[in-house]
Amino acid sequence: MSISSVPVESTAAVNSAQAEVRRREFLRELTHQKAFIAGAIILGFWILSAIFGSLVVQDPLAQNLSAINQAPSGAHLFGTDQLGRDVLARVIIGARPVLIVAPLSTLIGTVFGTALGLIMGYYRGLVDDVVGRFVEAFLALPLVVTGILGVVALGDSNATLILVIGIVFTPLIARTVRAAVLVERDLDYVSAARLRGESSLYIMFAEILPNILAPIVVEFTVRLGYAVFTIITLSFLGFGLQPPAPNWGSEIYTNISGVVAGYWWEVLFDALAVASLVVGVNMVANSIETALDA
Amino acid sequence: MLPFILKRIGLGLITLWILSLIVFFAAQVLPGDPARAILGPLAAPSAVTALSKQLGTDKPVIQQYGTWIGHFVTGNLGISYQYQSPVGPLLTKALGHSLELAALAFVMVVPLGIIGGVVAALNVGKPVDRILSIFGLTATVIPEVVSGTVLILVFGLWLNILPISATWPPGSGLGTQLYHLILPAIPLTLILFGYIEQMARAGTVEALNSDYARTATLKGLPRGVMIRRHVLRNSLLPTITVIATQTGYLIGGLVLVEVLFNYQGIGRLIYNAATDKDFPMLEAGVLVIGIVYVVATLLADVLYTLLNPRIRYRGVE
Repeated sequence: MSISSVPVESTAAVNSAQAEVRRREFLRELTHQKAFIAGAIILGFWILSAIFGSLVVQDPLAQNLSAINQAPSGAHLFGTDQLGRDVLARVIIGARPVLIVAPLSTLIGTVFGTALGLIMGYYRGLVDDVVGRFVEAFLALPLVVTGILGVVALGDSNATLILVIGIVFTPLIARTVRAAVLVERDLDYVSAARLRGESSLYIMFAEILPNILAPIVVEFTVRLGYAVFTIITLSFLGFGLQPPAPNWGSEIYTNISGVVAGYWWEVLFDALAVASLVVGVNMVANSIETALDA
Repeated sequence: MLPFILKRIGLGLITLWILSLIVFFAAQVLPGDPARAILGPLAAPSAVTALSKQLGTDKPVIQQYGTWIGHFVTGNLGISYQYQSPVGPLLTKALGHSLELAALAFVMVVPLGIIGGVVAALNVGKPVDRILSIFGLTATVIPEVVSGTVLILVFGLWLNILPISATWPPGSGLGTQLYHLILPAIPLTLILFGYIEQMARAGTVEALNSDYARTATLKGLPRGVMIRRHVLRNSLLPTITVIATQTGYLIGGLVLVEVLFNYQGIGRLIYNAATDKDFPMLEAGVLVIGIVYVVATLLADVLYTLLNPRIRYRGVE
């Protein structure tokens, strides 16, 4: 029961109460936006499809060579493809690889990018300059080209795709985090921690990090949209996700030649699925950004 | 002014050097022997060794990098494994094709984006503004795979009024070439529209709320004259920078659009080089893309400085 511990505890209590209030305000701002509700519904639909889709639709791999390239009908709502597989099933199950690869790669990029950004912003100097140059170099290449290069170098697989997108995101996210750290590092609470003799690691991760979570969350959601965009593009080009398991990009690539023969249903539904997912993710991302700014 | 440009050029060169390291070592990670890859699994070991010597792939990696970058700087981009001919001319021809497509996309999107942004800014908060914003934001995030596919279905299949292959018959004039390029240019245009529209809108809104715009209105200048003479001149400045920085995206978009619409540009060349493991072509192609991006952003910075008297007279840090 030392007296000096009393103000420290009360400050902590006040802080946590403030944090609770801020969190509630944020959630209210968020859920009051129509764009967030719409985006969350779309996103939720695809997540449910990826998890439980196989309970509802037919087998996406089952071929029926006596019923190939059939237009949408009662038996096959979205028609069948060139191997007689049910397009509806392939569109629904095709959500799986994207919804696995995109969040994982973005998470890797966010974790490493945050750590790197904290180090760059806190120490500045040489680390900052060197990483800054690497960010510039990565920015000089479009994400798709870097992705192609990475997949060619490391081999074609989901793991490679996750790793490559994560690596490309790392310096980009680090740049955002660094900018946020530069604002925080000269504030009183950081100086106070330094005077208390806390280690640099503790100051970076326990003091500064909780205060810059907002830009990191925004960065994560925005990057998630880019990740989906990139995965679809790369899988269309034949890199990363591989058939016969369905995924939207490869489906479009495989079936686009059938368009000349009039088989529009083999590509249109996949294209619309991609569009809905990307728009949904971006609606959620924009809403979170708006709610955090409010 | 001059020190600023020199500094920017220096930083650009460092960026390109790091990029060349990334590209070269990414290609080195791949297991396997280039000579074996060219000659195939049935070739005699002695032939593979001889080709390795000829290609220089038997030397230490650092030395290989030195040779490669030395040749690159002097304009020798290597020999393509796939085409068995120098990479330089192939790349130049493809780059020319891509520039034609990119130019068409820019010619379509820049006026549209600026007009859209200015119209939105003059109607802030009204339905026109909201519709333009939602359309711009949506178009920007939808991958070219999607817009390209839908365009092929609508214009190539259902309406049947535009060719779905960008490759024109040999000997076509510029008119026919552009006719074949309209459809491929639209996905690029859609993505860029949102960025340009948002920048032009933000710039115009800021200029409309400025003191000088208010002064112009209060001294009795007609609204049209005020907008043309005072607002637009100031609002379009940031837009120019955005347009230039979008070059990087544009090249990425070209890869997909050129594959989808079967067009022999640099994007398709890089795609083929990657699928065929044609490393000299891939390395040179990617580095050329980096150079195009660095030069474009450099020009944008310089142009911005030249056009903005505030920066021009103050000098840049």
